[in-house]
Amino acid sequence: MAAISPSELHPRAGSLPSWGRLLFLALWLALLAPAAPAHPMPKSFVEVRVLPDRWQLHLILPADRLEAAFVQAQLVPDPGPGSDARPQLQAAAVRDYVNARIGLRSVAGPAWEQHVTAVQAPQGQLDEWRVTLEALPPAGATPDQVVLRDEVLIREIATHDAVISLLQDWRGGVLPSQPQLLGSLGGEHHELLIERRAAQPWRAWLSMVLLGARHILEGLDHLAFLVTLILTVPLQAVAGRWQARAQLRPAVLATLWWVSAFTLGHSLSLLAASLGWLPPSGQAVEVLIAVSVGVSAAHALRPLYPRREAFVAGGFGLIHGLAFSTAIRELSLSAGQVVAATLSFNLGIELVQLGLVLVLVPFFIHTRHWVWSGWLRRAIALAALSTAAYWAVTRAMML
Amino acid sequence: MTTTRSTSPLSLRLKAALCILALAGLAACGGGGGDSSSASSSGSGSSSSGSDSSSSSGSDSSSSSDCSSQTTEGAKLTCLANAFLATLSSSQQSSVVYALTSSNATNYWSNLPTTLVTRHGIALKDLSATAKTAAEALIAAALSSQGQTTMTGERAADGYLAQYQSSGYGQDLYYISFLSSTSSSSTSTMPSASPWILEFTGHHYTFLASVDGDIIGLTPNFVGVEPRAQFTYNGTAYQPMLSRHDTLLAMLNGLSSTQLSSAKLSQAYDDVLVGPQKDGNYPSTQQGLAVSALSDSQKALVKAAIASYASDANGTGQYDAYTTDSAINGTYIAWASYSDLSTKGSYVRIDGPGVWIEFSVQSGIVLSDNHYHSIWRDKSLDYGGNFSF
Repeated sequence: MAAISPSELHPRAGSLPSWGRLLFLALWLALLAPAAPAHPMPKSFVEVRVLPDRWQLHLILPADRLEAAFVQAQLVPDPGPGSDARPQLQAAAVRDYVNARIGLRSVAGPAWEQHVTAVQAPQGQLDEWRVTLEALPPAGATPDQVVLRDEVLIREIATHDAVISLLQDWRGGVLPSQPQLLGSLGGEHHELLIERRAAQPWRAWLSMVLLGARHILEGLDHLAFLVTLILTVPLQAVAGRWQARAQLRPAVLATLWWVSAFTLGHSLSLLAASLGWLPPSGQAVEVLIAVSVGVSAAHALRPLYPRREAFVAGGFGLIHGLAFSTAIRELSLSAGQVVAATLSFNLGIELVQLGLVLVLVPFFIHTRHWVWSGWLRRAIALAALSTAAYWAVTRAMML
Repeated sequence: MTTTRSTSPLSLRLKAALCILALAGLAACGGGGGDSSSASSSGSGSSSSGSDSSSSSGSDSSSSSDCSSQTTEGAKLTCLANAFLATLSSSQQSSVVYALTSSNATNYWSNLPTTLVTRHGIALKDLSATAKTAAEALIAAALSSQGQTTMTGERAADGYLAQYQSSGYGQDLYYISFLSSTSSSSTSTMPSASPWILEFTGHHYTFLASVDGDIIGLTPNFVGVEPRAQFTYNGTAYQPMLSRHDTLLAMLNGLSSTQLSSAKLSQAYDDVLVGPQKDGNYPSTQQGLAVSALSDSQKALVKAAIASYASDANGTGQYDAYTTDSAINGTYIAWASYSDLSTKGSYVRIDGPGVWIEFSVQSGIVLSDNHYHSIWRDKSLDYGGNFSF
């Protein structure tokens, strides 16, 4: 953390920052000095997002520094020498304080119209305030060079540093998964020129493909569903029990139909939810996903819905797609961008699915007559079933 | 003998070692010595460590007796550096000698634990007994007896912290490296006629002693401490920043209320301004109260505060340069937030034509009490004046 400023923050207050910030911290550290990533810093962070019709500024402010700034600016009474008492800050006062000290403008123009959209007081172990502002570029302008003025904490605390990063600019291919470090402000430096990358559509698409691939690879529940689905590909139900198929062709066809149905289901709901036609995915969807894994695992133990797997896979696909859409919705893209983002995100998901199918299906088909293959299938299905039950309970408790 | 050495109070060991080195008149060869460190153990403790040091003089004298005949402090330091390098293997030698570049000089020291910011060189804890003896003699030779007391107390404080949090802190988790203007891959000696720097850095204490013929500077010199109150480590009591704190506080307390209010800065300071990797980050104009307007007794308090830092150096002449009439009259003092040097956020600064001293009170990191960061810089002699910022 270091052409990093010469200061340390309390490890006792050390809780995990959000993954985006953690990633960013790691990036910053990697750039400037080798260091341990989880060590929090008394810096503030400003995350800039270029949205279709507006710019968003998200500030992360260490609470003790904000309190010191309020005392220095005489916005709260000084607890006085010798006192360790921490002044209480009101959200409305924090909103006005921040709003007066940060803003955007075109290089040769007045400050953009802006308003604070959210103020979040410190929560739990995270001893930091979070403030979100939105600024509107002048009508008709597509600003490529924008000046960020930031005096938040900097005006009052001579030694404060604010780290500025570009979190999102779809046109230049900058997405929160790979933020761009813009620089830092502090001391007598209050202004930073943001120069946007030239339009590079493929960069954003590629990022979304990678994001989709990473999303499913990190989403153990999606993988578990897919594995339990293809467990029964080489089998057929005979009198309520699984038996190995005699021929190869129906197994390959089953793979194609089932996986395609799942893909079709989650693609449709992903697109619909990303475009806002469906309500945002919530905790209930997470519970349903756990249930879908459980049902599919149970089906791999004993046939529950033989010859109707494609329909079930398609239906469950609709549910999984709702969860995928969260990653896209939070980007706040325009309709056109959403379609491009969804397609590339989906492509990433499909590529991982395809890889998994190409590895597992030949293995299951090839070993379907082997004595131990039934035990392997039951072991996998039982593991998935118990994990799904655990997910369902813990997720339902968060409802 | 090795076991006894490792448990004996370091400050006494160093003082005894210095007596052996015969660094004339500079070392306090008597008992407790410095104002902020005293042996809390009984007389038997100090006498046993004294005899321990003299019993180890055989190995010391073999490397240092040559150096004691050197006529200048710079020549002595160069001699001791080469005696230390001679105790290292060739791979160790190449890992402690770096080219004298701005990047090497400025980027590998910090007030953060050594686990967070990489230090160049080799840690004292990784040296053989012979090499460590030579290293301690070298470090001590860059410092006055006041400076040795500071350094010993600083390292004891890190040893004390290691009892609470072992990762990143330790009495011997301090690194020695060299920056040489004649460095090449085969360099194993420091030059006597061109510039080189001894860098000694750990968690809360760093100095870069610059040699160009003679020793010309000890800066940047970072001095911080946690815990700030007196603590006992291996039987010895320490409070390594006591005299710094007290002289700076006396300087502020010596001001009238009018003077105090005009010395107050308009911003808050949560750390030092010209800290690690902030070289040259001085304000564009001097701020606060001009020392030229102070009475002689008030000026004496400013000089005493400067001495609490600059007199840690051995023979650099920096203190004398800072306290000439013209230098002291071109000096400003300032403070921020609280002038008690106790409350979190309390801050004081001395800003002269050459000298720059900052002292900052901050939250505790490992312990709950507040702790101190401070830095002494020299606007023209940091890193021997080899770079400009």
